[in-house]
Amino acid sequence: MKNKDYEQGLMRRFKWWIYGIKVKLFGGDKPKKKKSLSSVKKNETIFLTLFLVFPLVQFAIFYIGKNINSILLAFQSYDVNKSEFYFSGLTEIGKVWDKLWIEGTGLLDEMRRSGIQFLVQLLMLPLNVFVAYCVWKNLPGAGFFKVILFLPSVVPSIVFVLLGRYFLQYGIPEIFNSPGLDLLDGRNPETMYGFKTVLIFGCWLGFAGGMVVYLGAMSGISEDVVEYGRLENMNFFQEFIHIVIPAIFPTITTYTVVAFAGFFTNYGYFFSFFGDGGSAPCTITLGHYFFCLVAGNGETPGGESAYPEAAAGGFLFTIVVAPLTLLVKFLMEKYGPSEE
Amino acid sequence: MAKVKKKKTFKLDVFAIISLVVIGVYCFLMLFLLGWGLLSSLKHQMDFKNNIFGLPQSTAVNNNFGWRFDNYITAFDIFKVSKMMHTYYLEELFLNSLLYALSQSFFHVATCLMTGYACAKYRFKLNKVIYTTAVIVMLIPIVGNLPSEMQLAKFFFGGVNDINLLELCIMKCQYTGIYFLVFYSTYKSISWTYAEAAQLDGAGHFQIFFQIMLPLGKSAISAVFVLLFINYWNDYYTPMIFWSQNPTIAYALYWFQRGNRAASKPILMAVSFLATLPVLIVFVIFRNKIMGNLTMGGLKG
Repeated sequence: MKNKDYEQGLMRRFKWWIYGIKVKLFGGDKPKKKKSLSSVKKNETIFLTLFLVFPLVQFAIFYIGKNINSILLAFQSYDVNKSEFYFSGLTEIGKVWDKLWIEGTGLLDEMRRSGIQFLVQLLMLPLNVFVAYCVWKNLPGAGFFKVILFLPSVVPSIVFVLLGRYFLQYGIPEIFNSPGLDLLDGRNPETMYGFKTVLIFGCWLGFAGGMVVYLGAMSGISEDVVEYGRLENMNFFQEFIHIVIPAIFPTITTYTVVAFAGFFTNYGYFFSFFGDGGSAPCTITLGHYFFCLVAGNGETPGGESAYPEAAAGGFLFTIVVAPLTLLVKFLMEKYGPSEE
Repeated sequence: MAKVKKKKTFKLDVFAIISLVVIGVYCFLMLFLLGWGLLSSLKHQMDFKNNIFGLPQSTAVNNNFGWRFDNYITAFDIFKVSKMMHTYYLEELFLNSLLYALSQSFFHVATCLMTGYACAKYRFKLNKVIYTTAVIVMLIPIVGNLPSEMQLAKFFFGGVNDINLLELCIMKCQYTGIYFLVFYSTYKSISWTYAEAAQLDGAGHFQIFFQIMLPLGKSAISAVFVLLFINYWNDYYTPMIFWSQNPTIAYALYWFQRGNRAASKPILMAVSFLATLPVLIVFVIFRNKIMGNLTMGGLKG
């Protein structure tokens, strides 16, 4: 035991002796320099600059720049002979404005159909919330329903369009035993079967639209509030009206605002089904018209000469829809139900 | 400690029963369409036309009708899209889709994450401007700027429908939108004390981000990445306009179905299901992550 202590002491002395030599040769361990406040700030600035420079430059060019350019484009026309744009004042905006009120060759029919599409979308909103509520309430089979209802968000929409097209072309005539029935006829102004069918198809696929966000919002509802409803003997529907809707009203407001914003831009599944109408161009809504003007039929894009008209339309609609959107938001926030 | 999940209880009243029936009917119709498509994809073209709703059948004249599982193999040989000088077969279309979805998701997540994290965790002059801009951009709709975007693509990248993938990602990865807010709220809810402890040990800002904050936020990051991946895999509008020389599978399906190009509808349906397979696999693998995060508070980390 004594021997062991002696050995350990010897080792310790040896280590100190080595350390002494090391200090003599290389100098002792210097105390760590404390980072000055300015260097900390400098490091932070470097970090933030490196982190933010790309997203901000990207935003400046491809959002701000894009929209400024779009406004400028609305006041330009295209010279086909010289293949260049020139400023033409309000010419293009005036052309679009006039076109909006002309039936047949103009866009009045498209505007009407955009209105119908918008109203249908607005009517779908409460249904979407209700479907999410049913899943949230854990109705029997809710787990299974959740997966099936989520399918339209997972399966490519073009796959549904393709299956829907063949079902409408081959399945429906077989079911109704009428071989000539063409529910996708988008060109007949009398029946407008194409418009109605695709609108219903869109509603069907959008049955559980926004479920992801609504479920997220509903999960924030306090259990106490739900318990209060139970004590008040509220039924399934009353709980939805008196508890769930007020609790998630900000989310509903957002979706309503988005629906308003889409009045002029939505082309739903019309482009997927019809493209630009092929050899006899036929567009269904305003959004569809302006998209086709620029994108063409999806194979050959529309020429540059179409850019000013599309930009002028966009400019005109933004002037209408931007304040309207903010007004709707303001009114819904002011007069909508509150959680209290 | 095991979590005790409180189950919501309710009386199954008449409204609940009606709702259940409506949702049940909807789910049946959804499964019916998909089931019909799947069944049709296993038929011969003639069998599909003459026997729309029945099971695949062999006839005395044509006993090669039957169950045509080989449609899924034939699709790889005959489903092709010709662009310029190149013909894209199914495997190349899949590869294009994969590259497109992965790169777009990566860039989108990266820009939203970087700005969301910086705004949530650091005080600097532009902080409020960045946050407010992100919210305002979501609220104010600006309509009809596609022609302008095409002009910018031409100006910066020298073309419209043949720009390369990196250029397309740079053009599209805007930081504003819902996912910026998701990352902002995720990092706002994570305590900075972890970072302070690391700073005492001499860690820099990059080390703190990559070694501490990134793992802490990985739940939200992966959920957003998966959602974006599914979104971009299914997107055919953007590739159609800006990347049409490298068609993706979704764009190819649009191209075929709109022009009624394919001679064999069952093969086209087989391709549809093949195109769905990758996103379905991703969904099944990450279902709990997505659904769990979503149902527990809207994509929280």
